[in-house]
Amino acid sequence: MIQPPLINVSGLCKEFRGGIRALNDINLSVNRGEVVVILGPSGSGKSTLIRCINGLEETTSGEIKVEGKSLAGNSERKWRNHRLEVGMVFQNYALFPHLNVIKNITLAPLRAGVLKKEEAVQEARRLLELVGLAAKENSPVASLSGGQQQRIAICRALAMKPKAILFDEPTSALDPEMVGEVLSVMRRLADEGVTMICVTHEMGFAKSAADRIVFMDKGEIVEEAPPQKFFSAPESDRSRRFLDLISSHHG
Amino acid sequence: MQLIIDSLPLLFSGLLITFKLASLTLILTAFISLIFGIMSVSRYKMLRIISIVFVEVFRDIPIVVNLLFVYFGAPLLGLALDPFTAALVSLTSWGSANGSEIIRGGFNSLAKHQRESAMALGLRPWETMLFVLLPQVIVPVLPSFTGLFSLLIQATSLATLVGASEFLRTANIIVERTTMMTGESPAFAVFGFVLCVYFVICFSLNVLTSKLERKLVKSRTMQSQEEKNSSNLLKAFTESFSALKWRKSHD
Repeated sequence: MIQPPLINVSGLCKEFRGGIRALNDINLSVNRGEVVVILGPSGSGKSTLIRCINGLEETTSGEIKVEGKSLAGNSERKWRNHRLEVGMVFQNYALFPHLNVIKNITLAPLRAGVLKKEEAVQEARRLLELVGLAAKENSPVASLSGGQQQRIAICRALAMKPKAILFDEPTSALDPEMVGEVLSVMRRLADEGVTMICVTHEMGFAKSAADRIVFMDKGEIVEEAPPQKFFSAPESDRSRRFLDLISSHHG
Repeated sequence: MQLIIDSLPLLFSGLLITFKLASLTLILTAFISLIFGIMSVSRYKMLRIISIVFVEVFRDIPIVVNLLFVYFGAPLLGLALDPFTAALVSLTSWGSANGSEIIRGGFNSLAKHQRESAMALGLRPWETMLFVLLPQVIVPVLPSFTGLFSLLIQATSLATLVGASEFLRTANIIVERTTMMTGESPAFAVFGFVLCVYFVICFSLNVLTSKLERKLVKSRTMQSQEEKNSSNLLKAFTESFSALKWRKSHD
C-alpha cells in the first residue's frame, strides 16, 4: 500500500489584499521523515507558503492535504486540529514572555490534553536536556539569549509531538554567534527523522541536512532537486543567478 | 475645627456613600472594560462594532451631561433611578468606555506573533486570550487604569448634582446649615477638609497601585535572580559541554 505524502500542497495560490500575488500555483509534497529546505530571494513567497501550510494565512485557492485529508476551506476547528499535528518555529522565537521556560513548553500540551501535568513536565525536561538548556527550566524567557530562546521555541513545538515541524527562517533574527547552536539542534532533529519544512538562508544547513531543496522565486516553485544537484548543477537560470549572488556575497 | 469634629458623623455617613459609590463604580468599570476591551479585538466583526460604538458614545459625552441625562432621562423611559444608581450608571459607562480603550491599546501593543504562535501551537482562541494575551496586557495597563480610577473617584463628587447624599453633598449641607444658623460661612474650613480627604484617598490609591505594579514586574524577573544565584559552575559547564558535543558530531 502506498502511503499518501504527509503534507501535500496542490495548486495553492495566495493573493494578498490589493491583488498582490504572493503564491502562484504551488505544488509540493513532503513525505514522512523528509527534510525539505525552501530557498529563494526575499519576497519570493517562502514564508507565506509555510504560513499557509499552518493556516496562519488564508489561501486564495488550492488544496492542502495532510495524510491524504484535505484542509482547504475548512473550518477553524479543523485548522486547529491540523495545527496540533504540525508545529511551527518562528523567526522571532515568539516565546510567551510572561511564562517561564518550562511553562512555555508545557502550556500547549496541557491545554490540548496531549499529556498529563507530570508527563508534560518530564517531557519538557527531556527536550530541554536535548537542546542543552536543562539548567534554564525556571528562567523567565526574557533573561535568555536569542539562540537559547529559539532552542526553547523548538522544544515548545516538539512538546506537542507534531508529525512535522515548519521552520520560518529560524536563524535570521539571531546574532551570528548563536546561529550554530540552533542549527545543530535542527540538524539533530533532521538526523532523528523528524519531518521538516524549513525556510532558511543558511546554505550550509541546506547542503548538509536537506533531502530536497525547493527553490522559489516570485511566488512560484522554480526548481526542486536534491541538494548535491541543486548546488552543483542548478537547472534554471533563476536558481543559478541566486546561487551566484550568494556565493559572491559569501566570498 | 470644632465644627468639623461636631459634624464628623454626618460627614462620615457621606463619606461612606462616596466609598460605596466609588468601589462599586471601580469594580463594575474594571469588569465591563475587560469585556468590551476583549470584544474590541475579537475575530467577530459584530462584537468589534458593538465595542467601538459603546466606547465612542460614552467617551465623547462629558460625565456631568451623561449623569444629568441618565438621572432626568431615565424616568421618561419609565425607569425612575435614585440618585445613587444614576451616578453609578453614568460613572460606570464613562469609565468603562475609557477603560475598554485602554485595554484595546494594551492588546494592540502586543506583538502579532504572540497570537500567531499560540495559534500555531493549537491553542483555541479563548485559550490564547486567557493564557497568552490577557496576562501580558494586565501589567502594562495598570498605570493607565490607576489614572482612570483616580478620575472616577474624583468624579463621584459629581453625584452631588443629582442629590446623592455623598461626601461633598454632606459637606455642602453643613456649610449651608451653619451659615444660616450663625451667619458666618465655614466654607473654607469644611471644603478644605473635603479637599484633603479626596487627596488622601486618591494619593493612597496611586501609591498602592504603583507598589503593586512594581511587585508584579518584579515577580517576573525575580526568578531570574534566584536562578542566577543557584546556577553553579557545574551546570554551566555541562551545558556548554553538551552543546559543544553536538556541534562536533553534526558538523
